[in-house]
Parts: sequence; structure tokens; C-alpha cells
Amino acid sequence: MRRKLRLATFFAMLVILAMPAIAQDVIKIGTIFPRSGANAMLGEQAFRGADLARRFVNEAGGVKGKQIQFVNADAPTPQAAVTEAERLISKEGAKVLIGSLTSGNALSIASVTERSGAILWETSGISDDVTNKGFTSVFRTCDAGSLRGQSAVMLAYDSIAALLGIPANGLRVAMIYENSSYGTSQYNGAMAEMKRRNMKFVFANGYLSSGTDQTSLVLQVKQAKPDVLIHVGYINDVQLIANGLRGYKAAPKVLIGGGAGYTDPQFQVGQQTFANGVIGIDMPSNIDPNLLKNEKDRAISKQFRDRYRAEYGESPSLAAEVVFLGSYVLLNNVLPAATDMSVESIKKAALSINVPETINGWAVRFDSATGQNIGATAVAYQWQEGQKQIVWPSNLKSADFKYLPLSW
Amino acid sequence: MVSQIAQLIVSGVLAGGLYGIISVGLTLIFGVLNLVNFAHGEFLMISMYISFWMSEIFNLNPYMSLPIVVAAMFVFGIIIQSIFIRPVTEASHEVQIVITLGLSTIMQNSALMAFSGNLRVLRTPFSESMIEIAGIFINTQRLLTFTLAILATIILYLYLTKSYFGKAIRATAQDSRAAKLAGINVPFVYMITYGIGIALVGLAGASIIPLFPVYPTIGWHFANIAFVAVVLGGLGSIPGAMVGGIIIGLIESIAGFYFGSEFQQAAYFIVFIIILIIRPTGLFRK
Repeated sequence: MRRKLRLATFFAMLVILAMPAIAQDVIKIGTIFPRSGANAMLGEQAFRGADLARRFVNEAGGVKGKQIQFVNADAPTPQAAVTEAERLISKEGAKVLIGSLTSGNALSIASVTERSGAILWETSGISDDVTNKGFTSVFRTCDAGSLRGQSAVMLAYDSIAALLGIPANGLRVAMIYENSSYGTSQYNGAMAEMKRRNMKFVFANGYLSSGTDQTSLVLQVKQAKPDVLIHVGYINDVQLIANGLRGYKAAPKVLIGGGAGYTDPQFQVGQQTFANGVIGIDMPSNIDPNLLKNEKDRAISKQFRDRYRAEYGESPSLAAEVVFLGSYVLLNNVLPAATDMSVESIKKAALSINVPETINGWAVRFDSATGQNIGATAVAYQWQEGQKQIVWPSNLKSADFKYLPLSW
Repeated sequence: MVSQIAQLIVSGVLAGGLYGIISVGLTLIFGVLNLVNFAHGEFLMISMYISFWMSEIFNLNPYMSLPIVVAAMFVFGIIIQSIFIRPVTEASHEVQIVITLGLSTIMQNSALMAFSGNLRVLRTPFSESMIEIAGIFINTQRLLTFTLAILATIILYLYLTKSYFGKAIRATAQDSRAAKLAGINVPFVYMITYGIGIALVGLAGASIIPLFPVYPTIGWHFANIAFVAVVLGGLGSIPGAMVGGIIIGLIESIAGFYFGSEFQQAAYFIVFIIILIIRPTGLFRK
């Protein structure tokens, strides 16, 4: 018995002594998403996207012979994001944090990475502030919110007005937006485009997405009688407002949604046939692989979709895809280009890359002043007979844009 | 203009009734057990899930399954009270807060694991149907919820004031030691009262499921408002909680329309502070 114990102790010591050697063979990257709380559903999908990217790179041999190891954090709120980012950097030793899904979390994490000398690799938070606040260690692979607001206005005046038979200068456009940095960024982009066109919204207002009763907002929209309503919201508030617009007979002729609330499959689940005809401006996702120019990107796109479906029993959501592609660029393009795994080398490598194409058609090239990917664009989706089709721009479209009057 | 104001008042009152019924259970539990139930919103979420799954599995309309949901929540409330609340009945408020906050987190995360964060939507023929009277739209579902809320509050009030056990509950709320000396089984009163409070939130959950999609954190939004309604109406006051809820609904509706939706919450907190300055015990507490 005693001999067995001595033997066990000996092996245990061997394992302990070997641990630093094992630890040196991995590159630690932090992930930080809201995996519980109000955004848990999207947060979990986002994490799956990042984790698939990690596994793809590891299965292909890792980075310079080292495997990527994730240290993960759940940040349901921006306050939790601060604490968790600090933990990942100081206790877990992560130098790069992949995040964040929500813009509020992204801004909180960026403030921590900035003062801790780490990098925030932002894959999914779209607020303009994330890259406009002067942070020197933030790289964002996804598009900025203002671009979506701008795209919504362009779509309304350049395409929809003609379909409605209304001269562009007579088109009544209103905008409502949830008032966090997510919605406000899109509103600012839309306002800038309106000013450029010398136009004015017939009604524009922000609201709290956590509100349980949005009747007064719906009545304000009804009073404004817009032809086109641009609405930026998250999943839950969009459902409430869409139901209200229908119930109070306040629906516009055309509804353009901005972001997750209108493009996530949950919109269709909640609105069922009423979703038909609704437009959503968002990141490109689930594009036909044949539209990709590069054979390797087509293969990765297919591999990602097949693997995601096989492992999670559902098609990858937009959140999963955009986080996957952002993480894949970091692990597959940036880290191998870095001379070592110091923060300065990784930053230098990030600024040096020029990825001509990713699985959703974006190129990745970072603006050296802001860290924003200047290859990221927005697209317009339209719900057509239960399917979400890309209808704009023409190089990525999966179906033609149709004027489908809302059956509200 | 007049019809617009009337519309805002109608919408506000209907929304307020919904807040009221959630608040009534909360205030009852506070009034009798002297316990701030931070898990109240999560009980609402669970009752919404029960109602949703009853419809999905047994094809039961939420109004058909309402008695089952209320009964299930009553039993669930009694179980939770017996296991987690009873041991801390005499403990300090800090301990009670930690216990109910812990329960809230456990229930939220359990729902997340069991049902994921996905929205579950239940539509009934009434979900979006509107009655139009003189240009004023009344959502049928909200009207039904409001009617149920008012009825439940009246029945509870009558039960507490007229029945023998109701009087025992009130006696316990006034002075638990004296009630014990008078032969009232105080632990039993606590258990049943907690069950009734949770059954009321079950009633709210089952009646709002056609209006709101359910997801694991939905309770938090309503519980927040319920806490304000309870303090506004006077801690422990049943009519006060209902009136508090209606006042919040009205303020939300009117202030949201005239000053913008961003001002909704600020508006009812301003009124809340003003009322508390004038009447620190709330509107209905003597």
C-alpha cells in the first residue's frame, strides 16, 4: 500500500513538474461574451463561432506549432465585462481578448485592455465609439454602426421611393432606435446621410430597449405617418414594437430594421408570416459560397456551416458567423504573421495584414488610426416567404428586392 | 387631441393593471413575511414557461391552462418557502436578500440551461386583436389581463378581510408574536401566504404570455417595475400595489408620448420620489 502511495506521489510530482512545459506549448487567448443574461442566446452562438475558429486552426497544426487555448469569460453586463476582462488579463495571462457581441461590453472591455496593455479583438460590437474613442489596442473586424444607418437611408431614398412611386424628396422617413451605443451609432450614421441629402426625418426618437410597454412610441410613429420606418432594436424590443405597430394599425409601408432584432431567425419565429417583406440591414452572412472568389474561402465557408450544424443541430446564426470569421482572421492570419506573441508584435501583424476575402465576402484591412476594418460593409436582407434573402448590394444578393406590402 | 389623450390613458391603465397584478403578490409576501422577494420576476418567468409548454405539448390555450399554472405555482411557492425561505424567516434582511437573490440566479440559469436563451412566442387569437371604440384602440388581450388582475385583487382583498384564514394572515402581518399567542399557526400562515403570492405571479405569467415572448431574463424587467409599484402604493398594501402599478402604467404612457420614450422610466421615478416625499409610507399605508 505504502509503495503504491509512493509511486502515485512520484507520478503526481512528475505531472506537476511537466505542467509549465505543457503550458508553454499553448497560446492563451481570452474570449468574453454575454453567455448568460438577456443576450445569452446570441452570446452563446458567438462563442461557438470563436471556438470553431480555434478548433479549425488547432486541427491545421496551430500557430507556429503551438495550440491555441481559450480562457473564457461570461459577461452579461458591461460592468461584468470590466471585471471579467481584468481577470482574463491579470489572472489567466491572456494578451488578446476576443469579444464582445454588444457594443456596451466592447467599450467596457476596451477601457480595460487599453490600461492593461492587452488587445481587444472586436468581432461583433458595432458602436462607432469602439473605434472612435482613441483606443490604441482595439481591432474591429466587423462593420461600424453608422454604416448601417447610412445604408438604411440610402436604400430608402435610392431604391424604395421609386418602388413606392413616391418622389424621393416627398418620401416620409421616420427612425426609432434603442438608445444604447448600438442604436445611437446607427442613428448618427442615418442622420449624417439625411443631412447630406438635405432631408429630415418626419419623426426620430430613441427608447430604452428594456421597456415593457412601448405603446407611446408606437402611437408617436402612428402620428408621424411615415412611408418608411427605420427601426434599430434588439430581439425582445423589436417583437414588442412590431406587435404594437400592427395592433395599433401604425405600420409603415416599408419597415427597415437595423441589426439583430430584424435579421436574427428569432424575428421570423416571433412574427411568423408577418415577417414577409420586412427588410433588415446587417452584416453579410450565409452568402452563397459560389459568390466567393477564392476556393479556400469557399471550402472554409462550407466546413464552418457543416460542422456548426453537425455539432449544434442548427444553422449558424449571423452572430456565430461574424465571430467565427473575425476570430479566424486573428488566429489564422494575424498570429502567424507576428514575430512573437508580444502585444506589440501582434498589433504590428494586425496592421500589416490584407485579407482579400473572408467567408462573408468582407476583406480585412485595418485602418492604422482607428483599428477599424475598412473592408467591412453592410447588406440589406429581406424576409421573403419565410426565408432571409440578401437583396442589396447586387454583388452579394441571393434574391431580387421586392416591394412586398406588409400584411399588418 | 382628446381621443389621443384618451388612447394614452386607456393604454396606460391596461399596462398598469399588468404591473399591478405582479406587484400584488410581491406586496403580500412583504407585508406578511417581511421578506423582499428578489426572485419574484423569476417566478413570473417560470409561470410563463409552464403556460407556453402547456400550449406546445397539450395544445392548451393559456386561459384554459391558467388554473393549472396558478395551482402549480402555488405548490412551487410552498416548496420553495419550505426549503429556502422558512429557515431564514427570522434572519436579518441581508440574509434574506442573499437567499432570494440566489434563488433568482438559480432559476434564471436553470431556465437558460433547460430552454436556452431563445424567445418562445405564444400567439392566441386575442394576441393582437383590437377593439376600436370612437377611434380608441383597446388590445383585447391586455383588456382580458387587466380584468383578470382586477378580479384577482378584489378576490384576494375580500379573502383577506372576510375569511377566517385571511384574518389570520392579516393578524400575522400585524404582529406575528401576538398571532402566535392567539393560537395561529404562524409558520403555516407564512407558507400559505408565500404560496398565494407566487400563485398570483403565476396568474400574471399565464395571462401575459400571449403578449410577451418568454426568455430566461424576462422577469427582471417586470420585477423592477413591481418593486416601484409596491413602494409607491405602500409596502404591504394590496390595493396600493394595484394602484401603484396603474399609476406607473399611466405615467409611462403619457410621459413616453409627450416627452419621448427615453423619459418613460425617469418620469415614473420622479413621480415616485415626489409621492414618497409627501407620503413616505406610500399612498395606501397608514
